[in-house]
Amino acid sequence: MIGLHSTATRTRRRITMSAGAVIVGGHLLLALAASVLPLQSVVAQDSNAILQGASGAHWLGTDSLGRDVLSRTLHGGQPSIGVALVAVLLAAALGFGLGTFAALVGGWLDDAIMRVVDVLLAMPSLLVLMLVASFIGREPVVLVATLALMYAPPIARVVRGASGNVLTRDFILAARLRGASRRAIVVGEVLPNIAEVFITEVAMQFTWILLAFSSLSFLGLGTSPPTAEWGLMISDARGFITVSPLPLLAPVAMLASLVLGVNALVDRRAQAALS
Amino acid sequence: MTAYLLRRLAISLGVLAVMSVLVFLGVEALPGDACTALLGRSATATKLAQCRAANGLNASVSHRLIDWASGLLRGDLGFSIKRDKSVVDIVMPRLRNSLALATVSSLMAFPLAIVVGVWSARRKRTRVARVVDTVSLVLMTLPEFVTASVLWLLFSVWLPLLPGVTMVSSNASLLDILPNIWLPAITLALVVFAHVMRSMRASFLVTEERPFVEAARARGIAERIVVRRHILPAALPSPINVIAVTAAWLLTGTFVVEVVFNFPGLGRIAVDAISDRDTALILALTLFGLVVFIASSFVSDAVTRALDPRVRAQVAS
Amino acid sequence: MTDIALQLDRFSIGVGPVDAAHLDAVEPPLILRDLSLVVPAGTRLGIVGESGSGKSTLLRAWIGAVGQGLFVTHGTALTAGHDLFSLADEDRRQLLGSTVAMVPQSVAMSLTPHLSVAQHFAEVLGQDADRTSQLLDEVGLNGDQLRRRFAHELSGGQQQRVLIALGLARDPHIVLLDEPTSALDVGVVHDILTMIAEAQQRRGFTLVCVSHDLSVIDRVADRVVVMKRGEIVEDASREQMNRRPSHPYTAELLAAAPTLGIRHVGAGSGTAIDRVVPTPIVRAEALSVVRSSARHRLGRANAASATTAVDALTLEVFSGEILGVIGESGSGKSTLLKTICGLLPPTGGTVQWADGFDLATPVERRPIEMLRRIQMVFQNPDDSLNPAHTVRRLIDPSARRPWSPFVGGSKTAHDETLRELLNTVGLAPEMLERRGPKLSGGEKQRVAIARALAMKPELLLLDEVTSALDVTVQAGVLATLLDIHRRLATTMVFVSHDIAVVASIADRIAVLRNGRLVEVDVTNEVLSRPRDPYTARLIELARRTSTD
Repeated sequence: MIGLHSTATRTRRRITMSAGAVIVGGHLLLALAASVLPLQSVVAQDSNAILQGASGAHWLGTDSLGRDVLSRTLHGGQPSIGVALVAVLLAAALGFGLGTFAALVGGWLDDAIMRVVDVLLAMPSLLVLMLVASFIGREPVVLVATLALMYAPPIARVVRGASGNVLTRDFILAARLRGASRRAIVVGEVLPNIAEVFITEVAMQFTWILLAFSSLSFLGLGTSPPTAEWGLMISDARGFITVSPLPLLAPVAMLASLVLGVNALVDRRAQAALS
Repeated sequence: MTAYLLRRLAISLGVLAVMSVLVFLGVEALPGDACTALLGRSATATKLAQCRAANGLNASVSHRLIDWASGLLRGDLGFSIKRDKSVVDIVMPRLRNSLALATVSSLMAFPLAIVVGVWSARRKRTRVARVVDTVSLVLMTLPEFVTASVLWLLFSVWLPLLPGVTMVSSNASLLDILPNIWLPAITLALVVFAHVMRSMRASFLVTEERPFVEAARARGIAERIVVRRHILPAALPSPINVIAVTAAWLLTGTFVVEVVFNFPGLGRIAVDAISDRDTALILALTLFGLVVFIASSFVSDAVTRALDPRVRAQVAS
Repeated sequence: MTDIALQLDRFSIGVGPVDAAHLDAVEPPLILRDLSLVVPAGTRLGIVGESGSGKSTLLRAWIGAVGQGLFVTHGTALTAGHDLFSLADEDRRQLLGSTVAMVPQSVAMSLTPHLSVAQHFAEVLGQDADRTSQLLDEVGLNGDQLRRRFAHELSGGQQQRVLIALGLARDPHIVLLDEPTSALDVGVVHDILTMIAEAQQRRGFTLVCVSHDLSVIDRVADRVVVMKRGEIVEDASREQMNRRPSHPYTAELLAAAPTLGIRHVGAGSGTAIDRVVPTPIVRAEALSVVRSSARHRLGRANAASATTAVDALTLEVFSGEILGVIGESGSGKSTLLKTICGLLPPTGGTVQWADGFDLATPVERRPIEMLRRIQMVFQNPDDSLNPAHTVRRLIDPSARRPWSPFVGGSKTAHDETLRELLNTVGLAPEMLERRGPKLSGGEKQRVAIARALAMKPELLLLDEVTSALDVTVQAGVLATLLDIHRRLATTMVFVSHDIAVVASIADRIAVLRNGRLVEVDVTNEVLSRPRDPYTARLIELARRTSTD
């Protein structure tokens, strides 16, 4: 049948997705290239220029230690985006493997795996992160590993559900009848049909991981000062809002725009199919 | 139905027991213990040995596990070496505050979320509904410390309407705590509202597509009744599950919001406990989190089953 | 106004967003084109058409409903003198159920799952709720027993009857039936149609029945309207249409519907069997297959839901024949096919290939040569093709696999083979680059057949392959299958619930019931001298529902 969405809806969707792509692209570019831009030092303190507003020397003013807000803001995405990207890729690989395995093997093993996944899903990720950061250490390696383990379960759940749906269809039977190996079935028959749902879920988990990491930094258990990180900056700036709101608003704007950008980019139709 | 509930209750208690042991062992496995945390930099081998002997940390793991478990059954949650107070004394007033906060947030968010969810679903193509959709998406995906900070800026700093950072101690009377509840409650309510509303809306729209809805309308049944008797009961299980999960979160996941407003609840003390490596306190709080989670999934399961037509069939016959 | 029940006046429905401003600028694609029709009160009208004809859209227009994305572009549709599209919502609602009632298909779960039957009736009857039992009796159901049941506790036939009773509850002047018998067994169909005809006689309402099945229309209608692609191509009395259809499409429909005749030559005549010494290529002895419907939950199988799908079945498939297997739902016919090709394990008895190979071996453990020999085509065309693959990839997943018949040779030779295959199933070579979702139902099934034939099988298993297709498309696919049989001499097992379809293509017929073999013989014999009363009844029902 002919598409039932009016052209207005389709144009709106296209605009939203393009805007999202631009924003996310911009952030990723910044995360990669901020260090080569001609910006002021991220860590240089200037006790004579504390909490100043926007000026010629400091376009977004200075924070409580006299550091340049603009520079810190532009660099502030590096730790969280870096950690979140690596963690989400690991989680995606883990989740995909686990989800397809469970769907293929079926029976009690499938149930058992999914129960474990449900339990992991229920655990409050921030709590676990805090415990790990406090007791084991907050090195990027440790945090990335923990994040990957905590955020693989939701991906596994979605992959299991989507592949489960595909595996009940007759063309899988046809593939079995011509002797296709399990691997051939997963890669050739299942994967092309779950790709969209999978990618959408991975994108959404990227935002959750990003938030978890910056929340961790906000609480003082993530990135260590004097590194510039948005969560950390927001935490620092809280006490001085009455004097100068810029050191708070700048990182807030960056974080908010990145999260909204990913949401705009992600195809919401695939998301709706999940619920 | 009762048989099922009792069986589920027994299983839940069993799971709780097993998980508690796992949690205890998990905390044990973490590097360092209460003494290393207490002594910090000034720890030497002798001091550590003295500290451990003084606080009974020398005993074997199983010994301490049994002590802890029997203590729990007596209502004794242990002793915080770092804070030099019994855990019960630390946790109780804060538990009361957290319960108050969760209650206020729930009352603000849940009923409104269901109503707005249905309202928004029924007017799905209007501009207002789209605005509501976008706003809720924003609220859901922004980190709480952003929402909290912005709200603080708006209602406590620029328009001094509500108290922001709590100055009152945790032991103060509920009446004194109350004015400080509003901002954190609003922040939490906004997040929770977004999740529940979207779930209700999505579930409503999906249910509306099902053939029995068109069939009911074709029989000339008033739209009000179609929504109330046909669509809602079939659409509610999904958002109810979300309500259960978010209600649990209101008691166990509020760290960031409590830190922003310095609200004297369980979240605030949890962050401190973890940063201080106060193992006794961490144990108690994690256990509390477990209980809340298991209870909420139990309630959600029971309610969903009650609404399930297959269960209703058994009850009716 | 009361002697005309329904009317259409140059009525058109188009696709697209409701945008009156741009109506004149662009001509929207039309689902219903310029329809004009007058239906006097008391008429029994049948509307027949294949998929895409717009018949269901038309029916819905008479209760003032248009699907999402559709809108009225032109003309009016009057129900009991009212234009439901121009009425206020409340006024329209008053008419629904009391003046005009629509009975939806029961297949699609049209009863509210969490309300009991009694609650459904209480809602429409209000004060008169005590009439519930009376209404249920009228449609042939035991009122007292069923009133407290819920939808999931009722069979398909029972659900359909409840829906009809709900439609009749407020004594409507006009009753619209949307495909009242799809997915129901032949016996049930017969009873329900009889009940509808009787109810109409008793109450005297105007009846409009929409169906893709000519035999259904024949049983309940006096006047028949044939629709094709949104237009009315024929409007005549039932007798006139059957005897002398004026439009070629009607003639095509009538011809395509398989009839239960005794054949003397060709398919179904058994002459092919007479010519050769029958060599069995599949031999099943006391074969039993038990299926459990519930999944294992952490190791504990739910024994209560296990059903014996195939029960001590002994049957042979002879080389070179087309064996038709007929049975109603639950007869085990699909299970039998899945067991032969190794997708389901048997739980008792044996099933063997000609050379002694044990067909109880699951698919994953069969050697390549064995896999090639038995291929299957499935029922649902939408499910049998991977939507992400092109037709080329579907028929030949990889030229590099060792078992592939396409190994070696150049790309041109390869392409040539593919094109030949498409030709065998009646598809143009341009199809190679298309994808599943863009194809019609018939085209999808042909691709599925080509996919099976690519393996050069000795035995082709066909599981209800035409049941989901329109009757004219079905005729085409059946003709193609016969053609393939003639050219390649592939042995085929054709399973269906429709005895007329099976009889038109099979050399021998095996009748299955509840997993047991009722009888098996040459087609002509089964049709003219059925040995078992169950077979006789199936034939009788098929004869009754086909055109008199």
